[in-house]
Amino acid sequence: MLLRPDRQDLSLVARFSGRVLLGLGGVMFVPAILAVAWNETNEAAGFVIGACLCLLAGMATQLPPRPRRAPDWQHGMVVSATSWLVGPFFAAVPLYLSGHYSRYLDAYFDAMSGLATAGLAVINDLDHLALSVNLWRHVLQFLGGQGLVVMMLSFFAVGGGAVGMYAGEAREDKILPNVARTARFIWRVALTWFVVGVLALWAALAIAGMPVWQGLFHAITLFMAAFDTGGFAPTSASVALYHSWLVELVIGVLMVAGALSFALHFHLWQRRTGELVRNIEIRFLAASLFALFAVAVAGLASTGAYTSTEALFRRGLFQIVSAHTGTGFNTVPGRMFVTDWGELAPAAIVMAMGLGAMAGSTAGGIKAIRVALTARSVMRQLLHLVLPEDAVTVATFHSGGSRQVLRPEVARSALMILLLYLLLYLVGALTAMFYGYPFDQAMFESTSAAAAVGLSVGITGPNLETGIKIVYILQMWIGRLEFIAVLVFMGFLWSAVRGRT
Amino acid sequence: MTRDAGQLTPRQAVIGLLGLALLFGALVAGLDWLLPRSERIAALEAPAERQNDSAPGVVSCPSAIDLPSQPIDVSASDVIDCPDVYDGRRVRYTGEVVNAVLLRDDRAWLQVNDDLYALVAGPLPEHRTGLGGNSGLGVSVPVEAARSIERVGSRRTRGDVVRLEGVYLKADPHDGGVPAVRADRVVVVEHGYLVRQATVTRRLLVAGALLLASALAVGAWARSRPRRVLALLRRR
Repeated sequence: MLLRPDRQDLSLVARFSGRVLLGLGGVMFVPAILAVAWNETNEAAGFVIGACLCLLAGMATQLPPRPRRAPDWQHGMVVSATSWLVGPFFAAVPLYLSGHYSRYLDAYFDAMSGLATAGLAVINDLDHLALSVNLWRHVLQFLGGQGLVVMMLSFFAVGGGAVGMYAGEAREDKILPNVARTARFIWRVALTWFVVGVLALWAALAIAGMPVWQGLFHAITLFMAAFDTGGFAPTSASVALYHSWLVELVIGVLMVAGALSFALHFHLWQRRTGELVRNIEIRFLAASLFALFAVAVAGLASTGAYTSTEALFRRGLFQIVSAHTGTGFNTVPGRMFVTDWGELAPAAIVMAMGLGAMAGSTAGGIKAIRVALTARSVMRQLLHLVLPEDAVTVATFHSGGSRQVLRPEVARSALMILLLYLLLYLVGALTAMFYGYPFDQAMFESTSAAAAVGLSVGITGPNLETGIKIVYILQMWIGRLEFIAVLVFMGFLWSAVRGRT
Repeated sequence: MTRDAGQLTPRQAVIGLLGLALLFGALVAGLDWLLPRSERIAALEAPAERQNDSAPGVVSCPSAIDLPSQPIDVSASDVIDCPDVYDGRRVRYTGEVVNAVLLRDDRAWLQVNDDLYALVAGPLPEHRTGLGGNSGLGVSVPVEAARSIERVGSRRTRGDVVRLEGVYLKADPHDGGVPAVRADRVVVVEHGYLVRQATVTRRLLVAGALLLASALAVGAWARSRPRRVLALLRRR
């Protein structure tokens, strides 16, 4: 039986979730200023309202006397889950006030999609959206990719619950000795990539014929969506707008960089490039990327979707990388996955989306490490069957800069999360099927939402049924936090009502 | 979590959760009031999707044999939903040029939308009625034709509406397999214009009031905790 939380617990959760809102409110002033500069008065007012609501709500949570207890791991988990539910509500304010959303739920959907780096969108008339609001959609991906709680940890001292909050946001890397320094390192990596990525994209867009200042805007927004594996694009045509292999190449590199864990970025930062070859996740990712690309090419070749080799490889590779890294950009209209790509290539995309990239990266999905560890554990069991009874087998793997023994509890935990993800994908698919969509399309869209990818076969849009919309929001929330924080949050709510005193 | 005095009763927990839901509901109602009034277009109120009678996600295509040999009027959804039917055929396509004109050597790339904003109602900021997402096609046109386009659709602009004629390719070999129309005839049928947007006064007033309230709250907090503010500034 769970223990019922008291006022101190509530105060701790509210206090630290409130700090996330303070951070979000502070960031919202940036597009407000830009909106004024771009002569978007109504939108600027929308951002000021959103920012002030964040600040006032955040400060209200700081009013009660400071709790006597320090937050523990469990508080941290609940703070993460709460912040990821409440944060999108406030982040949606300027989106809703833009007038491009039919209902607040739609704006909330896009805010959750942005923060969870999913990239599915239900916005009306994106191509006539104000620049400041368009930028905000992408900033949300940047914030969400780095982590809302990471943002808070970078600026506020938290104490005992920091590890719980950090882990609650699905981050397990202990890159530096303390969590605050790790959080700042994550920002340093992202900002370095920001400078390099934006310059490279700006140059590629200029070569593609994009006017200079418009090119800069597109470069910034595309960078945020690519590196944070988000998938929103500044226009409805996504990356297909540019008709440029160079732009696709730069975006491809950024997507892959975003799919690497920050721990691996740290090793590369330290010039320990050997980790690239030894790391079990990198090996698994490279193998699955190659295998799924081969499957997609075989599928596309068999349907005759593309007659030239260049088209076959360029379209196939871009879409598989986009799906596997959890980004969700497309160079082919999503409907064509259904109407032109046959069965095999979209199946490869669904598998790539479901698997996801590296744990501790900005990507969603099951994650390479969990599948690799489960596979290794299965191999060990099989080995047991063929070896003499008294033989001792030890499975090991290389991760985080060292070789580790695969303990049964680690393998069990990886398998548990893997199964939970499969269940999550299935629940979303069943919901869409309830509304009459065919299984293959329902599975594609559900996997895209739960694995925070953003590729769509056309189900998601402004007229998406409310029931599916709510389920996808929950999938994005649960998928982004990778279950544990959400399960602890559910337990917290349950114990508030039915817990033991 | 450890236990001590001050535990919530289940009733308090439920009331607290309901109170929060009410607060958020009231906030959304307040935000509704701040939206500019929509000039509803009654004829377009019904959702624009699902124009065919089949189940969601299922499309029915015409037979390629039934199509006439002369140029066919098509929409973006026609050619995307039935790429094999229209692949390699001469088509006529009408829509609004949006985003940018990308000039390349002797040809240029346009993104041409044929959704309800492009052809019927105008950009959303003009009328504030949600009519669904955008739909369009990439179109490759001769550079001279591209130069006749004066405005492209964006946040403040309705782009020129063009009627073009050319060959639809479901995988254009000149662009690595992207579906596109390679047009040889482009006519601007409607010139674009700047979209006027009225300032929503009540929103400005609310923003000003909230800004003042926030400034006062931050000021009061800073005055009540001068040591913490100094410590925070030193840390920065």
